[in-house]
Amino acid sequence: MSGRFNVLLLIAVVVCALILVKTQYQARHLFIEVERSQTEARQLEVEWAQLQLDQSNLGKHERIQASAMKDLNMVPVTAERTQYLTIHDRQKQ
Amino acid sequence: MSSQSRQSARPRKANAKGVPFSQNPVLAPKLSAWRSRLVMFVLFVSFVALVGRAFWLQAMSTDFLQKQGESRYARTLELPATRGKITDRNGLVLASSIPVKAIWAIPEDVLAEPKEKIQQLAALLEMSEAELRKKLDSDHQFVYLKRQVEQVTSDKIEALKINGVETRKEYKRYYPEGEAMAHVVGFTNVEDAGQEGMELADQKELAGKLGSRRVIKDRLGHIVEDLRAINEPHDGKELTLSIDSKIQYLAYAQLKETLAKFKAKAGGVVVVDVQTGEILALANLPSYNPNDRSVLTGAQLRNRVMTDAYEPGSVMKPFTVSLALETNRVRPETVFQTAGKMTIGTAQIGDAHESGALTVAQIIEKSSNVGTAKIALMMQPQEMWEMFTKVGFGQAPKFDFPGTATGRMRNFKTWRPIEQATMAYGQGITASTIQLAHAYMIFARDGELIPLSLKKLDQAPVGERIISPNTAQTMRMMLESVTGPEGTAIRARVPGYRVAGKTGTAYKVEHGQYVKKYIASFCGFAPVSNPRIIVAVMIDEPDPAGPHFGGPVAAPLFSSITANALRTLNVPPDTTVTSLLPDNGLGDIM
Repeated sequence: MSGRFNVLLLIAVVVCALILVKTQYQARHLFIEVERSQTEARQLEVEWAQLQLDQSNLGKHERIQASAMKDLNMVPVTAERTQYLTIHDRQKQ
Repeated sequence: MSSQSRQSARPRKANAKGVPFSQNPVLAPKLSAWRSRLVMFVLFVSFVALVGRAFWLQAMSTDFLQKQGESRYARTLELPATRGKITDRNGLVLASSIPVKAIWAIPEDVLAEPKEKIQQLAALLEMSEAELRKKLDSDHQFVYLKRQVEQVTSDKIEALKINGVETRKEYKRYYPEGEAMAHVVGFTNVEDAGQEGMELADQKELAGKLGSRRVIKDRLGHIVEDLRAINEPHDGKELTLSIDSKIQYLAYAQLKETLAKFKAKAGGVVVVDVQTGEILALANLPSYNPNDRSVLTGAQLRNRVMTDAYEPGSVMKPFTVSLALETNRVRPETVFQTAGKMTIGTAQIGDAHESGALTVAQIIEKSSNVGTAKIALMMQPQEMWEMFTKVGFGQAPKFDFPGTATGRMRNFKTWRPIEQATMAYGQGITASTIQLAHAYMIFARDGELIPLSLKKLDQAPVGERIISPNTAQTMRMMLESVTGPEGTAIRARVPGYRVAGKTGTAYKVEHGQYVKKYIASFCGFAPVSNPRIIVAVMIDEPDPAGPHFGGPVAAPLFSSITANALRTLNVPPDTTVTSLLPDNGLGDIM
């Protein structure tokens, strides 16, 4: 009787050990996955900062003014040439 | 069969003597007993030694051994934190950190490499081979070859696969607005620490906090497991300035134009939002490019609006007059005789353009020194000192910015009458441009003063009343007349808007002597019906051979900056749009 019980326990221990090995293996795989995604997130963040910077660089007023005057032959607006419209509060809504 | 088997069951006997095997005399022990005991003892001692050793390893030196083991697979990684961005009030990036590489080397290993590789490396680092070799000629194990190298270049260097050349991640700060914004934003050094401007003022908030994590790495360098909780890095906070980069750029461009036109040495402009106290623009010249600081002079670095305290001249007069109005000593119609020189003690005060009898309003309009001095002498020194102190003169501005000037104002107990008279029109007292702009807020805000801010605010701060709304409005009318046909600054006018302000021309003091160098200034606000912005301009040392007074030099600059700022802020005009101005010569730049 006790002999059979011991065999059962032995089998249980072996199964548990195998499950442990598998779980550990999976955990490490997932961990590497997380790691990779985090690196990618950081990379994207850097790229975003770079693009924001580019936007600022291209949207610089100095540059806009230069190309507006040179390429598009625009002239600065003056109050005399401006049509002012009065918006009433009711119309605003 | 049965008898035979019985026989075999009996113990065997030696054939000769019939002695059983176990009692064979050959087997009798002939060794002395101590030998076996010795073996026993040696075995016992060995066991004790083993147990002792095991105990020693397990219990006594376990920490040391575990550490040794861990050091073979566990690594501590530094988690970088990015410095916070700086943006303007509309979210446009003014300063941002981009990862770059520092290239460092172990000289011995690099010098052992073939010559072509070193040449290629030198080319990529943009230095001559001799220069590179000079850097490598060192006893140290660690030499920086070049810092802040862009990612693309560092990738190429890594592709060369030179032994002993390593890279390290670091950050480089970029300033897209460049010179126009340099003095406000400031810059950082290679260690990513703020050196000037808001970068320095807000260093604590902007700088991130590095994190760390302890991990197990496998043979291939992959991270396998975290050994303990990650110490998260904290990126620096994003800083939103109150600056509007459009107004800022226009102010900077116009200041540049003005300096060139009047051959002036330097200049500064500040634009303040009346409703919130936010600084919308703050420009200085000469300036510098914060992205390339290889040649920097002190003059370029100076944020003149903040750090240069000078004798403001007539710009001070409104404060003296408003105090007299506030205490009911004078009324706008009160007449003073301003003809001739006024003698106080041994000194004489005179006006550049002599007038006869002037009302208080005209004294401001025509900027009469004699008239202002006469008004000042009706008051106690302590009253004037209190007034000046309340509006911020002689005190450090109440916001965090490196190197702000306090200005000099002596204690009223030591004022002599002549000093009281000259201070009334802005001599013998110093203030910075930002202090003047701030003080003018009492006229623009119906007598209230609110603190200035370089950071964007969610709500306007609560003001402190300095003079009554009545006095402030009266002063507004007087200051508007300065830009009228009879005033000193008709060129300050802006088509479509009513503007008010005061010119100032100060002689510079060098070695305690007034010299023939001037500071032309103008401080004013617009639109008068409901002020939205205060603009203060300062032109340092316009060519004395040409025009050098506040009226012709500073007022036109005020006009063009105000016109642009009001348009940018969508402020509706409060007067008919007619061009009253003679061409101010700045028409070409908006």
